[in-house]
Amino acid sequence: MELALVRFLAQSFGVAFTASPRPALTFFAVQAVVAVVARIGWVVVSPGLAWLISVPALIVAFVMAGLEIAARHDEEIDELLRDLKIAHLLGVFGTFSGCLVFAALGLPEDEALGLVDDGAAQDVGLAMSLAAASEHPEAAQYGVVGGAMVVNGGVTYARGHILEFLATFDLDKQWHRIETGGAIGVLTLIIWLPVLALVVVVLMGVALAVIAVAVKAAESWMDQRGRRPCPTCSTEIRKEASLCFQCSAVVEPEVVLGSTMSNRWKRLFAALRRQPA
Amino acid sequence: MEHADALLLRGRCGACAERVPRVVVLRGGDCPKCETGLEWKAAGALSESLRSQLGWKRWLAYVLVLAGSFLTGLIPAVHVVLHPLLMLLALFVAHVWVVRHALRWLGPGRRVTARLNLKLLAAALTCLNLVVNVGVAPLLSVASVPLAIFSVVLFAIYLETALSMIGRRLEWEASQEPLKTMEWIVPVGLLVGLLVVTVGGALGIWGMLYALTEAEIPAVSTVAGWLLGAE
Repeated sequence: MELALVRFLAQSFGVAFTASPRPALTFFAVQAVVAVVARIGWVVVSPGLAWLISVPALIVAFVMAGLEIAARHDEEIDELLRDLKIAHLLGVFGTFSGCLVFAALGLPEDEALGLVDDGAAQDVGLAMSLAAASEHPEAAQYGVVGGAMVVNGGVTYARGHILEFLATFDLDKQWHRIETGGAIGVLTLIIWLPVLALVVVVLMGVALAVIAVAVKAAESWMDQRGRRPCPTCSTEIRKEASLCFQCSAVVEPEVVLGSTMSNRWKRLFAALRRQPA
Repeated sequence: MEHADALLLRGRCGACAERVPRVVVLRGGDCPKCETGLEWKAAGALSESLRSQLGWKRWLAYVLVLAGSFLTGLIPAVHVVLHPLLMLLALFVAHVWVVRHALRWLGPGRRVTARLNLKLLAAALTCLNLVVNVGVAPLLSVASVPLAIFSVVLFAIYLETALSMIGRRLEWEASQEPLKTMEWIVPVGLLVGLLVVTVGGALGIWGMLYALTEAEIPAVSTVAGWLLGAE
């Protein structure tokens, strides 16, 4: 049962791995975990993909991950990698991460059978395409893998150029540290956006209803404070009123709106002006 | 502005100063208490005065959101959470401080539908802001300045849409036009769609987990062993 849940999680996060902004590091992490669990004997990786967790592959991935991290923290290494056009090609590692995760943990039974039926287990990329579309013709399956690699490479290439452009504004390196979390987060978050939208609507509705009740209570209290007795019938009328709603008597408003000062202040200033110096 | 007009703008009768339904003021009816005509005396329509009254509040809100977004953007890492929260707070405050006052002038049906429209718009903008801040901005290493501008743009979309929507509805209300079909069908449709998608999504995930618990899934080692054997 745990394996089924792990498989479910692996499939859920598989797409996010391929879009990781640190593809080499992500690949190395996936590779290391799979290598350890394969060595313990918890999983068996098919021979077509076993080379991905071989010692040379681990060393290569470790070096690439190290270069990737170094490039993020050292401008000279970053420039060297860019000059060698390596920096923009790291994105294809994301495809391999997806392959390995699908193959080791998330490869569904039908697709696993497809590997054998098509006799194409030796091809690394096919693990990905078969997992995604085993019922499709072989050409389409190759197309899926090719597409995945092109998309990964293209995204990383475009991102590299954008980062180069942004680097001219002397941005802080700290943004890089949360890239991976953000990328994975948003890809998993998108599924939950309708729920989030509904939660926002409901919460806003409840909060606004509470505020409306509070405002109404406050207005009612303020309304009582802003009253005076009518000179004719003693009914409590508003201070701004020029007419009593009970006896229809015309009264002088105690508070006049639309001017900067209330009558009370006007009277005060008038009294002050009348005082001898 | 005349004393009576100032009272009308506050939703009170120009003569007895008692509270009257704002929609009656907008339509120029009689005060239910003293039966005085609630006549707007100043130049220009009452709805125009209401809109111009909101002008300064709008600009102040823009400045506050711009400053707030910029300052939260300066805090590393935490800004991905702070920005969407600030945006949600800004939308809420704008609703209470600016939009709510204008909404009070609409009749009950028009007010409920307009309010629902605005809540849905606020929810959509909050989600968009979250996606941009959590996913896109860190991916592109966007700094606080463009994020602050983005927040203000989203905020402006909400506020301007709200004011324009309410302004048009105030005119319809003043000319006593009945509630149009489009006014209620859009928010109700959107809300129902949102509910269907949410319930569907929840059921889908529940079904997936249920299927996983019920399915007899062979271990990967078994599958791989079988594969190796078949080969």
